[in-house]
Amino acid sequence: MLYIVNKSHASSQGLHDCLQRASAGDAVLLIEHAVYSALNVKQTPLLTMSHSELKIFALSPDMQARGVQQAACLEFIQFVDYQGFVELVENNAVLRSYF
Amino acid sequence: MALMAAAFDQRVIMLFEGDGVYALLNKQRPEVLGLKNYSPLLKALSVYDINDVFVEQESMIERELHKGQFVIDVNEISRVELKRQMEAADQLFSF
Repeated sequence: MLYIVNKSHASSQGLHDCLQRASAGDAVLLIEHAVYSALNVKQTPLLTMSHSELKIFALSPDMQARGVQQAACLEFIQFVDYQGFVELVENNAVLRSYF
Repeated sequence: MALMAAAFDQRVIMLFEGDGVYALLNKQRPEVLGLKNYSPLLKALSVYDINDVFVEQESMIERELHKGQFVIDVNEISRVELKRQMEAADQLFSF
C-alpha cells in the first residue's frame, strides 16, 4: 500500500496515524508541507523508522520550493521527482491519502 | 496584507509560530512549483516600517531551527510573550 501524506507532523495527526497503520513493504510518500517531517530533527515521528520495513519517500520539487535540503533530511529517506511519484502509484495497488 | 496596513500608517507586528516559522527559511525556491517567491517581500518589511518581527522560541526549538537559517533578522520571544503581543493588539489576523 502507498500512503500519501501532505501535512507535517506538527500541524496534523495524519503522519502519526499513517505510521501506526503502515506495515512491512508499504511505502509512505511525503508531499507538500509533509516534507518538513523528513528533516532530521528530534520531534519527527519518522526518527524511529530507520530500521522499519517501510520505505519512506519525499517529493523533491516540494522540498526545493520550501528550502528543505536533502542533506538535512533523515538518511533513509528516498527522494523522488514527479516521475518517481507516478511510479510509486503504479507499483502500489492500493493508495491511501492522509490529507 | 501587512504591507497594506503599514502603507496606511498602521503599526504592524508580525508573529510567527508553529509551522509558520518555516516561511522564514532561506533557500526556498517556490519557482520550482510555478509559485511566487515571497522571500524578497520579507526583506522589504523594514522599508514599510515593519520592524517588529517576532518568532516563537518554542516553535524554533521544536524544529531545531536557528536565526541564521532565516531570510531576515527576527526577534525570538517565548510563547507567553507572543500571547502577550497578541493580546495587546487592536486587531489580530491569522494566516
